[in-house]
Amino acid sequence: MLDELQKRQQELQAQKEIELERQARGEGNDLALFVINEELLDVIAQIRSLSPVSWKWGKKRSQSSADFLPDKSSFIDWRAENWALDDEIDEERARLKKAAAEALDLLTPRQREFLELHAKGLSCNKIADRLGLDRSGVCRTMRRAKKNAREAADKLLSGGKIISLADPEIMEKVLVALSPLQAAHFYLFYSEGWSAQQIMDLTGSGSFCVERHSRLIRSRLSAALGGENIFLVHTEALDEPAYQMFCELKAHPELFPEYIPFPKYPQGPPIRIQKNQKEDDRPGKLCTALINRGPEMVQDMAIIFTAIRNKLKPHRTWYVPSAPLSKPEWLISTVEAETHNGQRS
Amino acid sequence: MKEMAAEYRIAAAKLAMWIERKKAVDATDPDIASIQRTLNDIRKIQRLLDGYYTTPRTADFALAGRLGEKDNHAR
Repeated sequence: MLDELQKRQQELQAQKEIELERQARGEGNDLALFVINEELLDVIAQIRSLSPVSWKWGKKRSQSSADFLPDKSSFIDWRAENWALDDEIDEERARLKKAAAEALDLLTPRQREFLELHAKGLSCNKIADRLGLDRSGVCRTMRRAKKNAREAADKLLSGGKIISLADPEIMEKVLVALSPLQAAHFYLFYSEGWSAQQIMDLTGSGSFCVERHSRLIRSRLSAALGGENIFLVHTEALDEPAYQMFCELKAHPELFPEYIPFPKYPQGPPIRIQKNQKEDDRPGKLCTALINRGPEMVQDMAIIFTAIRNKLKPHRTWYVPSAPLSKPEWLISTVEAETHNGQRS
Repeated sequence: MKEMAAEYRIAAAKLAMWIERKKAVDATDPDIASIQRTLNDIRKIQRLLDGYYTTPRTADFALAGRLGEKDNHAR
């Protein structure tokens, strides 16, 4: 059919030339030329519709969607023959969805809120207007949220794990891996959700100190929990054992440690730790008990974590001798109260 | 159908001739655009009658749902 059309095209072109010659001599019929032209247009269109895309008049060869059509049709054939793959595809899809949902859980509440609004179709500008925030801040948070979610999902898909600190075994590993001072920083920064600035204001230390603590915590926990693709969640669970030890120390002053140790521990690539996700801003029990201690709060916490550590690993002797610790106020006051009571009775 | 198609082709030729002459006189004539649109419609009808749209195509084109013609007025 294509050959016939091409022949017809040649005929029409010849007729057109003859007609043009006639007109040049002043003999020809104008309408005849246009009729020939119309038919020629038709024939060309038909040839075009029947030929491959790459063969076009006056057009450079370029990539178009039609170029992929053979691929598409072969894919459709392949797909029709392999319906059995459906289950696998569904499983894969479920796996991806699960990873995405878990990755979203790992974001901060604010980031999640922005992403939910964004998913409803609001732009950065509209989110900023609705929440009364600055546009650039919203954009920045959103970008970070997307990046974090993507990274988390990638890690989870490549064998990453979400580990909860509420698990007693994990809690023990964490408390052994961290030095007491690091545990105190962990408590303030992750369990209580303080900002680095708040810790700096409390302790009077520089930002470098806080950052270093944070980095070492994440590196040590990586070695302790095994691997970098780990997300530690439910960090607020640290409050409970710490407060228990606080009460125990008050009841049994003999548990008071002589030194705050600086144990060594292997490090690995830093893991990610989720900050406290509490909705209310109420401080934890230990924080409430020690809030009046001011800058010495961190040291008191270190004492408490040392006591926990001594309880967990009594055989370890990695103490670095330093000046012996003086007993903190809360302990002295309870001891004195007890002795007073004893004298009275 | 084929005869009707031939009539439409002649009508299209007449319109094309009219446009050509108008353009020779005044290329900015506002009537040209509307006649051009009519011409396009007539060409389409002529192709429909001629069996152009029912011509069996290669599988690639059938998949895309593509027309062989170039339609400048498609939106």
